[in-house]
Amino acid sequence: MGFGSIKRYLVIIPPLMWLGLFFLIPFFVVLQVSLSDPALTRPPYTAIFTWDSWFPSGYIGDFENYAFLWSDSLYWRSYANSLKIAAVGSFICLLIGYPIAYVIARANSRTRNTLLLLVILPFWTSSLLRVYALIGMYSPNGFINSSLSFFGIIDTPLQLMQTDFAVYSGIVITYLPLMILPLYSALEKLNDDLIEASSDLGAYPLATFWRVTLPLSISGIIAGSLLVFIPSVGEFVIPALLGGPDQLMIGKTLWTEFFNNRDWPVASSVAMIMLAFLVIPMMFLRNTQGLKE
Amino acid sequence: MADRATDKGQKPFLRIHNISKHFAEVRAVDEVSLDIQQGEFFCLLGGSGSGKSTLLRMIAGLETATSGHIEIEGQDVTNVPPWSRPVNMMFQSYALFPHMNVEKNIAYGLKQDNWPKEEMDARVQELLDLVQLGEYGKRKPNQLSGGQRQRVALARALARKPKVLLLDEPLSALDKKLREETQRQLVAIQKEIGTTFIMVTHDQEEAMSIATRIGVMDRAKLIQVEAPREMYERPANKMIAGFIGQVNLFEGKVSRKGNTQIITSVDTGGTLEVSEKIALADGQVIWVAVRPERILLKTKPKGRAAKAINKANGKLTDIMYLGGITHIQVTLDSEHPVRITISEHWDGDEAKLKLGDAVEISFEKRAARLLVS
Repeated sequence: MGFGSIKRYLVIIPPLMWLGLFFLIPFFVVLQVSLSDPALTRPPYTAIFTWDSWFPSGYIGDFENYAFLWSDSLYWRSYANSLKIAAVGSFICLLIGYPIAYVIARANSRTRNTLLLLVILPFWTSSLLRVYALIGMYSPNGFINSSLSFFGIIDTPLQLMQTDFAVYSGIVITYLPLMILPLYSALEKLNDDLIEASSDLGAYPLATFWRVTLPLSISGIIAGSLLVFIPSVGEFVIPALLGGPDQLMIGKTLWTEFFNNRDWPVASSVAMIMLAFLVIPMMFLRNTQGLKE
Repeated sequence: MADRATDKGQKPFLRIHNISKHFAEVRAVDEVSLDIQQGEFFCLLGGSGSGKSTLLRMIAGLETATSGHIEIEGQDVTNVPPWSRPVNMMFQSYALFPHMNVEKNIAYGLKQDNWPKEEMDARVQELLDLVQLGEYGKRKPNQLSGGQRQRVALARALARKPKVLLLDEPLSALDKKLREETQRQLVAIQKEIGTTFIMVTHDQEEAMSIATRIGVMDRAKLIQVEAPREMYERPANKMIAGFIGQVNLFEGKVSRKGNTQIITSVDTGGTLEVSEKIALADGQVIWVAVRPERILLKTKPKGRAAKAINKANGKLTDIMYLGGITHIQVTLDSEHPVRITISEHWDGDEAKLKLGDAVEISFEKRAARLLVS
């Protein structure tokens, strides 16, 4: 091993240590908690190993919590609903984000930078603040309802809060930039000549879009959708503030288990299953990008 | 501009009439008119920014004309969108679709026209054979060499049997040897299928060797349209004379001596005579253009002629031996440089030429061309 490669390893050690300390160890802590039983102790769970001085002498953990999750439909419905909301939310973001990304990518370089700044700008405010702003818009005496009744269009306020619509608009307002940026980067690489060649070869603009633009931006579509989908699945703030009480989402369920029921082992197993759900699409992303190279 | 096609009374196949394109304040193409016949291999020649590519793109429909109109077989296509025009273009970048293999790239236009599957496959195979890429149908563009990509782009542009094929600097990305080979192939293919080709190039040698006619563009205007030989023999102005091949220009001033007009030149220190008869005004400044291979070189001049016509003395300042031919530079007594090309048919002994030798140059009346601009 030459000096150069030693240096390369030295460079990679600090981030690896960081990941080990703040990602891998907490991961094993949660995994361990998920295999234990709740107890009236502090912390409120039992150990999964028996100890003989310094060495573990026996394993007493089990998959009881996972079996419990399986048996209670509340959890399955939470997962299913979370996945549905995340999937539909990502799709809405895609529908809104694609034209925006397309316009930005086709703009001349000066307007392009301004538009990109406008896309990123909302990120400079707290996402909590943006969700609260939506409450100000949607609540019975909020902006939309008071405007509509002011113009005499409605008599009684519309039910906007605590609906799917409110949750989806929360997801869009929070995560849209994460959709636009990878789409923009894919569309920006798209050569104008290809679009022109397609028109020249007899393709109407819509055919050009389906056969050239869309297939060549697929990497941006996948990346953007995953960037929106993954955090949306575990989203807690948006369904808690904008969704109704019957709006089951796994982030909310996890919160309830952890803070209201103080059942850390069940909460941990909920988290582990959610992680599994998220790792699968991540591996899908890795594979599709691997195929490209 | 005199157009030979209309002189013959034929209806032009492609007619460009007074077309202009302005980008904001810039005139990219300024009132260009041009008629092109069926089966021609026409070259638009010009430097960068001359407007040649913009003109080509207007024929393709990729740019909309600011004014003027374009007709193909008598049909006005000025406002027809690119997907409905009977022309196809081969792009400088080739613009092959990276997510499709060679066959799918070639079939792209046919699919848009809803060709039946069997006919489409047969046509693709025919084109693959035409461009000699028979076994490469399943490859993706990034698995091909530059020359192969160029041929796929050609096949794709020809697939829909366009009435006019437009080629935007199609050979500029190839190295010199491959480019010459591809030029020959391009001419052969054009002859075989008989389609009208319009090619844009900045390479005058390429235009000379390929084209049936050349149109030279400069600063948004079409300056001259001629067959390569006529263009070389009778350039319209100094710019074209220098652009198409090399040229020596001798500046002259028209004056009157008794009843006859004479042209005196500071460059040669004598008078100039040409065989053409052009009406000139007294005091007018003109140029006499002579190609390097048509200047006669004489070593050991015998003194200086008193009233030298088309003749000057100078000394050798550069000799560049290239095998078959030798390029020589002579600096005249007036400090005016003259380029001369001599071949092995020269009656002197090329090997005995030395830098600094006193020489005499001259040219015949019929070898010179008079230019007024």
